[in-house]
Amino acid sequence: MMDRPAVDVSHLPTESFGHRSIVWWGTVGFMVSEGATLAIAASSYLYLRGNETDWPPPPTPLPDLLLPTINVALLLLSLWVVHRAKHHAMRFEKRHTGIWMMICTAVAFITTVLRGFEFASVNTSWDDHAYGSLVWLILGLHGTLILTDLIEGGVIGSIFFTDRCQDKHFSDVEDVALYKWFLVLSWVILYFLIYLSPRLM
Amino acid sequence: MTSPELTHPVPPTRLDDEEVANLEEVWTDRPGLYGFLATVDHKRIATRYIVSAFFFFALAGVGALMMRTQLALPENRLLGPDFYRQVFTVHGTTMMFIFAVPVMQAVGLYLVPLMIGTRNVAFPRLNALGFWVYLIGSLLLWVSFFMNTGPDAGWFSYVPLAGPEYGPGKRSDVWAQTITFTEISAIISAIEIIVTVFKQRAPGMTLNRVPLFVWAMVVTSFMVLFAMPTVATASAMLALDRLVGTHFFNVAEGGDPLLWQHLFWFFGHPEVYIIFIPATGLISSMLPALTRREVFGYPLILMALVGTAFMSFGLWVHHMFAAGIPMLGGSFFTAASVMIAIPTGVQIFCWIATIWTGRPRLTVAMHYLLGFFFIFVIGGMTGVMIASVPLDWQLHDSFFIVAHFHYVLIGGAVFPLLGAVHHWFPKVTGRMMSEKLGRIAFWFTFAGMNITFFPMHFLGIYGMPRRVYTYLDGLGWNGLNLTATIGSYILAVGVLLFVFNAVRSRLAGAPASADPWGADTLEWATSSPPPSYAFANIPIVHGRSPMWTREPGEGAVTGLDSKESLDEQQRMTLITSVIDARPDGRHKDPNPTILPMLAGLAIGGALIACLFTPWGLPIGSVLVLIPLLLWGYPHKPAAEAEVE
Repeated sequence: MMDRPAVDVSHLPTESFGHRSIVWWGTVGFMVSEGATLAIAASSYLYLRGNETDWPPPPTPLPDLLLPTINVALLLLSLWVVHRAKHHAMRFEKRHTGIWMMICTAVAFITTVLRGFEFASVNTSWDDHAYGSLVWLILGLHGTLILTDLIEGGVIGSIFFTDRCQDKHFSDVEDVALYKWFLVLSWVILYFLIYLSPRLM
Repeated sequence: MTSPELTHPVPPTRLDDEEVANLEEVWTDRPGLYGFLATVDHKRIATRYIVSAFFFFALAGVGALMMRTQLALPENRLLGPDFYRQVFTVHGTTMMFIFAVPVMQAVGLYLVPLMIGTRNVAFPRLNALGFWVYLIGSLLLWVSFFMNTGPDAGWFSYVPLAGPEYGPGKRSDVWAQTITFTEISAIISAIEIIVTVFKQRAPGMTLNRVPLFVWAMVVTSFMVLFAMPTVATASAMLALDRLVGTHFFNVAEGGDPLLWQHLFWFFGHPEVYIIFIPATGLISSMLPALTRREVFGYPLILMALVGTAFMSFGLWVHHMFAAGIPMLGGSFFTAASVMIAIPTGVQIFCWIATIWTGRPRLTVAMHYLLGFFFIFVIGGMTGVMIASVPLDWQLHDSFFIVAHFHYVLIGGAVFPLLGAVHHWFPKVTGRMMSEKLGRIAFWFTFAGMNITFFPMHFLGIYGMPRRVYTYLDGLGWNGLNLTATIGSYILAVGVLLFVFNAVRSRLAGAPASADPWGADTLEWATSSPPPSYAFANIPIVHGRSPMWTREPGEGAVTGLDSKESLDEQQRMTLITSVIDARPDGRHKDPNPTILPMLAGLAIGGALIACLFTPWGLPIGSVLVLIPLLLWGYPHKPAAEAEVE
């Protein structure tokens, strides 16, 4: 005798997008903990800055602005690119998704290389004083995320050119796009902190 | 009630015997060493975590006995100052980072999926990786200790003592790397638990029906996501100061040692609640079975959990009252520290009301819960005392503090944990623990704990500082120290009896039924021990106490496994919506693989190499990348591979 009904789930999909997918939630979890890491590095920067009257401490020059500004612009551009990829992924268009993911990877590659040169453009070394240590820490921590994003995007993008592509990889593209938002927006804040704030405040 | 959309007009067919046998085949690990190393079963991994954590707990306990033996008599020469420093540092580091936090998360990783009626955690391979990283980090600390390279600057590793100038050698580097390892593992476990609870609850288990232990683990996991990155970043900064000459904590070059204290305690105070909140969840989830009624004040307890979590991030400076902070800061953090007693008090009154109005059974688990009330309340009260700045200045760095936090942590975490082991042992092993031996062990533990730590309150008031390897005769400390040492041996006998009981019961205890306590949550709906797939048919939940609201002919989820999925050896789990737990998808759960272990070994190799050279990071990263790429890269679909 059945007093209570059963639930048949055989018709439910095995892949889904956005908050319906567990990978999306996992990505959010990592974004939160990585965001906390960046926030702590930024807090340390502000804490030690509070001990100084001049920032950067003399005779250290201000960091260069041109290269980092180009890189921020590129990062913002990569948001548009990854959303093209996401647009096609949500329609399960394998070839277009793959092409846009490759363009996205190319932009990420340039961003990564420019980040490498940014270390030279901040006009201080990690072992000069605490200011140098902090700037390098922030560049390095965020640089690790940029590198991770480059590798992840490249690997996922390459799958679309093989016969191993499955439905879940389209959902993965959406997660890459979500992560890219975190990557770029967190850098806009940190860019303001380490490049603009010493000039403005 | 189940909403109309949840239901489907099909007959409620449950799996027949053959289908269950197929399910067993799909979910069971291969026998032998490979199956052991490659498993992604949350139950096996969590059990491993728990056993490892108790192993390190025992090692750190031996360290405690060594310290107490050294302090039994004045001017004792058993341990020298250098070795004593290593012992108390490794004891504290182990208890906080390698025992208390991981063991609570591990209990969560075991119980949470069963309590919410799912078959595995959300990311089973990542979960396995978390365990291997934890194990390697823990072994790094203890192997270093046995090689006379144990950290020696205290469990909080204050600079400048732990910095390059005053801490030569590799001791503090070992500490920093151990912290990095265990925090990676803790963050992984936290994400596992949050996503599993949000997306894999059995249909009908709306958020307001989630068992309180599960809620406690969710709240704890969110705290971990914010607190652990802080200490991981701080320990990386310390390692960089020591390894490559950065100046984060070097005053001469614009750094600040107080920055370390802020970063450490911004993590360190929530850490206490990261240990305590799961324990409160254990209590709230044991009490219904032990008192035969639903827990009193479910919404109040839940609000108290969330309130505690928020407040715990706002009181870290009370660890720094003696470091010279502004007056206003002192007042603010005193108020905040006193205030956090309120939500904890709310929980305690709810539990008392539950016991008062229920029909309590004095099982061994209940003994430990009552012991918790006695010990933890004393620890909480001394906590309120030292939240006050003037008193803190007098008692800071004295044995009073040692007494306080052992009352809080042993009372607030270890007692509920030992009770929980007795309570859930039948579920995990299929055998009952001896109640008689359990009672004897409890009384030894309870008496030993109080005889050890109660005298320390007076030692602190009489001026005995912490972290001294010996003391002079004639200061009035002899009798109290000897009493504490005798107590520590009584406590050790209690722990040994507990371990003996567990081992003996595991081998020859009375067989346990599926639900020996008449409990209310879903883990008791499946056999003891649970099968590899946990639930053949995912249950449907109709209330906060699903086991008590079940009826004959209960409906269940059907159609999760298809003939194709079983034929393809594909493990399936049910995905549900976040708030209402409506069925929303069928997730293909990954199969066992040895890659998480290989990735764990690569991460371990990279971090250990970083002890010696900064090149450990880039070279190690490449090595880590290989197993991760193999892990993430898709296999050919099974059907196509067969055609080839």
